[in-house]
Amino acid sequence: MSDQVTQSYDTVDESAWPLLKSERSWGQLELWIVLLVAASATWCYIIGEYVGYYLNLKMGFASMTAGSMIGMLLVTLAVVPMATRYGIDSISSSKPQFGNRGWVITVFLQYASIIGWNSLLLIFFGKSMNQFLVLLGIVSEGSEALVIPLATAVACVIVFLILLKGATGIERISKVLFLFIVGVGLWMVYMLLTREGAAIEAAKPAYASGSLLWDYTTGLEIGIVSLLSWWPYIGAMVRVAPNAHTATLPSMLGMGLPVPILSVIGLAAILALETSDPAAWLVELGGPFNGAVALIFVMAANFGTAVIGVYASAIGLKHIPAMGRLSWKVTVLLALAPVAIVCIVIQDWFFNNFGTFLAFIGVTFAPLVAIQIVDYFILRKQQISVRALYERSADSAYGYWGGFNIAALAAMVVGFFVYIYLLDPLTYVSRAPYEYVTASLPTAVIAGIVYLVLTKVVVQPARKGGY
Amino acid sequence: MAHEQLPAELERRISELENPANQGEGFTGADWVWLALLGVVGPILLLIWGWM
Repeated sequence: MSDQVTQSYDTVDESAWPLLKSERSWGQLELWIVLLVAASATWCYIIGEYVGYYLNLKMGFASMTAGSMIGMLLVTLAVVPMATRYGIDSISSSKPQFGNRGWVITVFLQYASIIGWNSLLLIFFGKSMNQFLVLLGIVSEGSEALVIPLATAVACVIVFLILLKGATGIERISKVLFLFIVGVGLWMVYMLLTREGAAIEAAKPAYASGSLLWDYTTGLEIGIVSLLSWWPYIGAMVRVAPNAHTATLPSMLGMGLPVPILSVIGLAAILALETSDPAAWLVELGGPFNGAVALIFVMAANFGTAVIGVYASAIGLKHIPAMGRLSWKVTVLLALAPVAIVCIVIQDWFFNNFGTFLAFIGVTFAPLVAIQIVDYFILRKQQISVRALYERSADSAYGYWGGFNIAALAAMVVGFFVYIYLLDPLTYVSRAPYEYVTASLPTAVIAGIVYLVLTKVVVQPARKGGY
Repeated sequence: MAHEQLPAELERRISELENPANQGEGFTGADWVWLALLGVVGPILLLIWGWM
């Protein structure tokens, strides 16, 4: 390769370069399956568990599902039109708003969030593997300290080997996992509702605040924030679709709806059994065979999502010039290494701080999606410069000020403080009017307005941003 | 404005994608209806049902 070449890739779907229309071959079915596999993982149980702390089954399901679909709408509007028009991923789609250097902020957000989610998934994978081996009598109770790190290390190696095939590897593993995830997940919901229906009906949410409206809004908020987590994932998947139409329903129904449906498992389980982890209750509730099946489901679901997460993270890393020169194999290793370290070295600490991690998602991604929606639909009329996405010079259309767009930075900061004011994501202490409007929706609206006003008043008059 | 020199393969891709005919189409009218139903109307109805 010549000196001018700044990016190395084995196939184009392993690069951060745009995919041509002729290369975007995924139809609705492929996209539906891949997005469903990406969405269906153990975090659904934890999401359901958090909602079940405040609400009963009916209200929990309604608020969580409504929130999930609103969150999915925001992510879909922010990323899908740009990703499918130009064949670009989520990080590239943020360059017009953040600038040709400022996009590194979104790389950090993506990298941190995907590392967090993947670590959680692979720790769950290790725990389930340990339970599975105990069930089969291969290891004894109390062997977690050895089995869990070993299982997660093996999982990391398998994820790496699958991703050597890039998006092709993802599509293949997704098709294999599809039946596991849908079939066994629905069976678990059915079994919980039929066998524990009375207990679920009688259960009182453990941390109900005394204000039903506050609890209901919090269920909605948890749903919205959880689905905003899909921002880093979705671009790398939908960019393989030829147009926005192909991606619309798979995004909303394939990636948005499975989360609340599978979260019912966690919601019902926390109400009836006071634990959301199927590994802890399915053997007792369904017997050894059903327990073993459920554990396989948990492992398969986590594994599929981890593969997709590491792929999206590796694509994001490819944007960084130093990373662009590395081979796909090395990039995947860099995306996977922090996950392996967390899973093997600090798994307990990380596992016990999931709530803090979820808070990080809401505070950062709510303003981000609003900025993108305002920029693409209102300010740019659905047209961006694909060339400027890859130019790094100061006089490029997205050069702004030193590569950073102050309108986007200001909107992110304002959004951060709006969210913190309305709802402390660590303690869940709120201020009015949180119980009427949630925290993430006003955060998104205000961040969007700040971005719009600053762009009109400062950025456009300065002839920055290629507007 | 002079363009930066980009890798040849990336330049080829950008040139092709700068032609609107080679870009993916945006949301159709039906897509907007689905988005409104699934992301706005549906959640509102769900919230009303859950509260009742």
